[in-house]
Amino acid sequence: MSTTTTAAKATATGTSSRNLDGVAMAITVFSTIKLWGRAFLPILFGVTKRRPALTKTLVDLSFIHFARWSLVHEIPYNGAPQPKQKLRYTHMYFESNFNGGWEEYIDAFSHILTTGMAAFWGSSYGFPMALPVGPFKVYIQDNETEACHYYSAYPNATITMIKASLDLEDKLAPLKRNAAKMGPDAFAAAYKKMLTDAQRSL
Amino acid sequence: MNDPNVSGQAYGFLSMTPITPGEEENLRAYLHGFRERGERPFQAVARTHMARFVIVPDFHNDSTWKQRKEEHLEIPTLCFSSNLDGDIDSYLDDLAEGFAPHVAEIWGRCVGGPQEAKDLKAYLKHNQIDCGFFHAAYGQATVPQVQASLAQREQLMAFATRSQGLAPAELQQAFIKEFAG
Repeated sequence: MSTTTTAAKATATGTSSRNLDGVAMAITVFSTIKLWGRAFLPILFGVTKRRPALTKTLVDLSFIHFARWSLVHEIPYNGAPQPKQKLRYTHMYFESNFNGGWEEYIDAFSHILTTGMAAFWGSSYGFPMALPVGPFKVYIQDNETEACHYYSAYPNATITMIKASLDLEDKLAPLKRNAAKMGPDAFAAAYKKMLTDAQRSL
Repeated sequence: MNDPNVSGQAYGFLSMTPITPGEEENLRAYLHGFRERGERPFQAVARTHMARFVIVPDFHNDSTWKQRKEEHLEIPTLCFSSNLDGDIDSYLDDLAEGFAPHVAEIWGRCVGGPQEAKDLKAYLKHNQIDCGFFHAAYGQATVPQVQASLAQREQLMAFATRSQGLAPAELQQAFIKEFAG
């Protein structure tokens, strides 16, 4: 699916320019699920959702804005001329919205989320396991589909910037509230402390 | 929260709509055209964090896999996905309004698809595919909150540089004017 006649050129980030919007990057992958995966994956998804500790590594990686896994058991029917298609297999739609390079993303997924990858994709036909990373990259490339249009509402922001910015408001808000009520020296001291506390957010 | 499409206040929407035979290349050209014309149509739908259109021509098959039989899509399919703020019903209303000029050109090229914006919501809901698992790194924050916090961070960094060396009273007045005015 990765090769289309109108595919855009790969960029220095390792993916097509159509998968990019600023520093935000899209990846879209379909895989075909083995029979046992039809029963296993819904359980895995449910357990993962209920136990946030299982996704701590995913959160700590700090370069994934949004990601999703969906199971496609049937293509919704809309009448003729769409043929009624009963799918023999369940297919999995995976999308990620991340920042950083494609290669780095796959490397991080492979090396850090090795077990999680095996759980999420182990029931997909052709999945070569996350390590070694070479065959896994080929697998993703083979199953990836280029976006026709991709959009981010804040295309130049990395997830680290976004988290830092959201944290900053907590540090800045008290000073914004109280600045006018303070004496100049007390304000200057509070301002300096706020900047010191917020240093990691700037 | 039991809805598999929800993480925090964020909602993950996905629809798969079959493309009318003969329309795939026209649709692809129209979607590519947004970038080529410098258009950002999702800006008109303010609750959209990140969104994409993907045309899936077929499933991937590989003879080396131990897949008993190949499986092919009978008809190329348009995937539309959006990571958005709040509930899906009102978002699809916003989408229909913001995308009104594009509805016939995009989903109107899909089987049974709407030619008018008023019919978009029902069509997309009919073709929705639920998430199995949805991860939102900052699912509590809305698009305006993210954008405002990013702007405030830039503003504070610029202010900190600009205000170096000011006397306490001047610093206080400058801060109040900048952030608390």
